Amino acid sequence: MDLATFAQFALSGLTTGCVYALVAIGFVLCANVSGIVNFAQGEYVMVGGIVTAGLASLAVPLPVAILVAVFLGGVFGFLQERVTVAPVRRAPMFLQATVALGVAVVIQSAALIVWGKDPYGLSGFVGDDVFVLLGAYLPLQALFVWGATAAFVGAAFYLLKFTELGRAIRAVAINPGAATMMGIKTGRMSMLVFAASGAAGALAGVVIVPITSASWDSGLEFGVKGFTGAIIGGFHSPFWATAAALGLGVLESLAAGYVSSEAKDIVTYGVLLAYLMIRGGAFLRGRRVVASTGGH
Amino acid sequence: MSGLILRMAAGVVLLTIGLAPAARAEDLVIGGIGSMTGVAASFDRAVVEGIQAYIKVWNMQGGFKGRHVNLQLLDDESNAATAVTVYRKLVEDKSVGIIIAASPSQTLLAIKAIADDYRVPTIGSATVVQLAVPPAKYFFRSLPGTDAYMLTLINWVKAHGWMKLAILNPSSAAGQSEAGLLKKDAAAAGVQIVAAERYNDTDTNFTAQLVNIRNARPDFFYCGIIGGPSVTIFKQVKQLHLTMPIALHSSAFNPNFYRGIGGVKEADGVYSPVERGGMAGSASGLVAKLYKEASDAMGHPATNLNTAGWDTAMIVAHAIETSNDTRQGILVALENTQDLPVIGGLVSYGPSDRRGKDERSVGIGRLTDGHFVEAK
Amino acid sequence: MTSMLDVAAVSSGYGRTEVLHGVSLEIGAHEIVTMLGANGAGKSTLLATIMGVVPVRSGTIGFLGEPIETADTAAIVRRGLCAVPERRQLFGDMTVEENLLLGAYGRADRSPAALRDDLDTQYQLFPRLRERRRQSAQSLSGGEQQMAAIARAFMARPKLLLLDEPSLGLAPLMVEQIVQCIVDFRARGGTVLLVEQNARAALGVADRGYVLATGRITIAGRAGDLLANPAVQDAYLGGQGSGARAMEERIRARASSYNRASQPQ
Ligand SMILES: Nc1ncnc2c1ncn2[C@@H]1O[C@H](COP(=O)(O)OP(=O)(O)OP(=O)(O)O)[C@@H](O)[C@H]1O
Ligand SMILES: [Mg+2]
Repeated sequence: MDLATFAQFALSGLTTGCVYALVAIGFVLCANVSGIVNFAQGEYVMVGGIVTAGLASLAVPLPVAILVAVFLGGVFGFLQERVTVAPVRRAPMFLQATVALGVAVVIQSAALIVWGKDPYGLSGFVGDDVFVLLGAYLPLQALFVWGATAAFVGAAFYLLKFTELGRAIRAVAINPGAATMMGIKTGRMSMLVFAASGAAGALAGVVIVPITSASWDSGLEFGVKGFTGAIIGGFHSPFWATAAALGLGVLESLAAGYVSSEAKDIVTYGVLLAYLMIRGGAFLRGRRVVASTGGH
Repeated sequence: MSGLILRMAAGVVLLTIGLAPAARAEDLVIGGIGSMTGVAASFDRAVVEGIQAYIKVWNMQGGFKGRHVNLQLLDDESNAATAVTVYRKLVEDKSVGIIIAASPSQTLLAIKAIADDYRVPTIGSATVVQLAVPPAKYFFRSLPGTDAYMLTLINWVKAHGWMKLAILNPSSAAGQSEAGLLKKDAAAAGVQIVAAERYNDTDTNFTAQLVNIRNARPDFFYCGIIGGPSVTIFKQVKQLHLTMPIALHSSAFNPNFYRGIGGVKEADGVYSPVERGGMAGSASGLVAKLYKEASDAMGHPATNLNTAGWDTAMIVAHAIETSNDTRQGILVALENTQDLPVIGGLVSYGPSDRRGKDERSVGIGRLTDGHFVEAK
Repeated sequence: MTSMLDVAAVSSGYGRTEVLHGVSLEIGAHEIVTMLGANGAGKSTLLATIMGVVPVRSGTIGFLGEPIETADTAAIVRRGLCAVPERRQLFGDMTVEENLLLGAYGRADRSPAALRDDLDTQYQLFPRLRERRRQSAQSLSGGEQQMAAIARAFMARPKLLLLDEPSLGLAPLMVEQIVQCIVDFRARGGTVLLVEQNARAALGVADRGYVLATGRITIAGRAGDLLANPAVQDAYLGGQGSGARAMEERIRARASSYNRASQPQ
C-alpha cells in the first residue's frame, strides 16, 4: 500500500467529509437545542452552492456571491425555525420530523423553480490548479473547504465552550426546563442555532461547489451522509458528530479506492447499521441529556 | 360604379379562394418528446435544436405538400415516468402521425416497451443497443448503436498501438452495458482492459476510481460519462494528472460542460467516438451541403448532437413525404427506408431491422476549440 | 411588613387541567415562608407559575409592587426572583462552575469581575464546590448537587429565592446544612419561599407557612401555630419518629438564635 495512493484517497475523502461534518454539526445542534431532527439540513448545502454559482454566472463578484449565499442560508434557517419549528415544538416527534422533511421538499422545489434542473458549476476560488500533499494531488479549492470547515468548527467550539451564549445554548440542549428557569430564552437559542446551522450548510455548499457543482437535488446526498455522521457520532456532541462525519468521508473514499467503487455506500451504511445495532438506537430515544463540546 | 363593385367582389372572391387553402389546411403535426430540463437536458436540447432546425428549413421550403409542419414538443424532465405520461398524451392526439423522442436511453427504453401497444411509429435518437435489439415494430432508433461506437473506438485504439485500456462507466444499466461491449470488443481485438471502474450519478468524489486508473498505467482511458457529474469527473481527471490520451462519451460535451470546466480550450485534445455528421464541416458533396444547411438554420456550426437531431428529423421527413401521412403509412415508409443519405451517413431499416445508422456513421473525433475534427 | 411577593387569586394549569384554583399568598421582605402540601397538591406548579414558566390563567402576581403575571421568565429573573427547581435540575454534563455561571445568565451585571467575585462568594459558602468546580455536575453527590443548585440560584443575586423541596433525598446532616444556608441567606437580606415535604424542618426555620391542598390554600399561619395545628400534625407531621423530632428541635433552636442575632430592622 503506497503512501501517495492512501493519501490521495484519504485526503479527497476528507474534503467530502468536511461537507458532511458541517451538515452533521447542524443536525446535532438543532436536534439538541430544539428537539427536532432537521431533515432539511442537507438542502442548505445545495442552497449555498447553487446561489454562489448562480450569482457568479450573473457576473456578481465572487466574494459578494459567497456572502449572499451564506447569509441566505442563515436567513432560511431562521425562517425555518420561526415558521415550522416553533409552532410544532410540542407536537409528537414523528410530526416534527415530517414537517422538517416537508421543508426539505419546499426548498428543493423552490430551487427547481428558481434555478431549473441544470447543474451549476463554478471554477475554483483561485482557479482549478492542484497542489501536492504526501504525494496526493488535490485541487486548491480543497484548501478552502478545509479552511472554511476548520474555521466554522473552531468558532462553533469556542463559542459553545467559552462564551456565555454558548453555555446558554448547551444548557438549553441539556435541560430546557432548567435553562428557562435561569432566564434563558429557549426559543431565541433555537432560532440562533437554526440560523447558524443554515449558514454552516450554506458555507459547506459555497466551498464545495467548485469541486462538485450543485443542482436542485444535490442536497440530499450531503444531508443523508451528514445525518449518518451525526448518528454515528451519537447525535448529541458536535465534537463527535464532526469527527464521525469526517471519518465517514475518509472511510467512504478508502472503501471506493481499495475495495471497489460499489463498496462505498455498502461500507457507509454497514458502519451505520453496525453502530445502530451496538448502540441500540440510542438516538431514537429522543433528546439526549448531553450536549458537550469539551472534555474529550 | 358597378365596375368598381364587380372588381371588389372579384377581389373578395379571389382573396377567399387564395386564402382558403392556407387557412383550412391543418398543420402536419409531429409529436416530440425531449429532455428539455433535468440532467439530460444539456445534450438533448442540442438534439432538439437540430430537429427544430430541420423542420424550420422544411417549412421554408413549403412544408409537407404546402402544409406547415409543426413539432409538438413535450418535456419529459429527464424522467422516464414523465416521458411515458407525455408519450400517452401525444398518442391520444389523432393528428400526430409519428413521434420523435430525444431523451436518454433509459427513457427511450421505457417508451420502446409500450410503443407497440399504441401503434404510433416512434423514432428515438439514442444509441443503446437494446433500443433496436430485439426490435419493436413501432420503435425505430436513428443513431448508430453503442456497439457501433465502441467497436469503432476499440479498433481505433488498437490501430494506434495502445494495448492497455482503462474504462470508467456509470453504474446504470446503460453505463454497464457500454462497459460490457468494451470488454467484449477489447478481448476480440487483443486490447487489455487494465482497469474497469464505475461510479454513481450522485457521487461527488471520483478520486478513488481515477487514482486506480492512474495506477493501472493504461495507454488510453475511456470515460463513459452520461449527463450529471461530467464536469466534476473531467476536472478531477486533470487535477489528478491523468495524462494518458482520453476519450469521453460524446454526450459529455455541451455548453454547461464547457462552462463548468472553464472554457472550451480546457477540453482540447480529448477524443470521443462521435457520429461523422458532427465533423462534416470538412466534407464535400451532399453531406457538406446538408451540414451547411443545418449550420445556417441554427446560426452556428452544427455539433454532433445537432446533426443527430437533424438527421432524425430528416428520416421522419422522408418517411412522411413517401407515405400517405397515416400512422400505418409512415410505419411502412420507415421500414422501406434504404440508404437514405443524411449528414451522418446512410440510414436503412428493414421489416425487422430498427437499427438506423451503423458503424459507417461513427468516427473518432478530436476536440479542437469545442468542435470535433476527425482524428487520425 | 412591606410585601415583596403578592400572589392574588391565581389559577393555572397544564392543557385542559387546572391545577391551581385561586391561590393567594403574600411574602414580606426578609421573611422565610414555607409551603406545605401533599404530593400532587400543586406546589411545584405554583413556583413555575410565579416564575412565568406556566402561564397564569387568572389572578395577579405582584413582585416588589409591579405586576409580573404576564412577564416572561427572563424578565422575572432579571427583577430578582430565582428558583431552585425540584430535583435540582443541574446541567449534568457541564462543569460545576459552568452551572454556577449559568445561574448568573439572567441578571443585569455580568462583568467578568462581578462574576469572579460572586463565584468566589459561592465557593466560600460551599468549599466542596470549589474543589469540584471543574467536575461535571452529574458526578457530584446528591448533597453536593443541592449545594450547587442553591449556589447557582445565588449567582442570580436573587431578592426572593424559591426553593422546591431542597431536602429531598438528603441525609439529616445535609438537610441541616441546607437549612443553615437558607437562614444565612435571609441574614444577608434575602427572602425565601420554601416548598417542603419535610414539614418539621421547614416549619422549624420558617416565620410563616401555608398548606396547599389540591390547588387551594387551606391553612395559613405562623410557623409555630402550624406546628401546633392538629390538621397539620395529622397530615404532615404524623408518624415521624423521635429522631426527626429531635432534629427539628435542634434546627429550631439554631434558627431562632440566628434570627435574634441578625434579624434586620
Ligand atoms: N408538566 C405538566 N404537565 C401536565 N400536568 C402536570 C405537569 N406538571 C405537573 N402536572 C400535574 O399537576 C398537578 C400538580 O403537580 P405539582 O408537580 O405541582 O405537584 P407538587 O405539589 O409539586 O407535588 P410533589 O410534592 O410530588 O412535587 C399534578 O396532578 C401533576 O400531575
Ligand atoms: Mg413538586
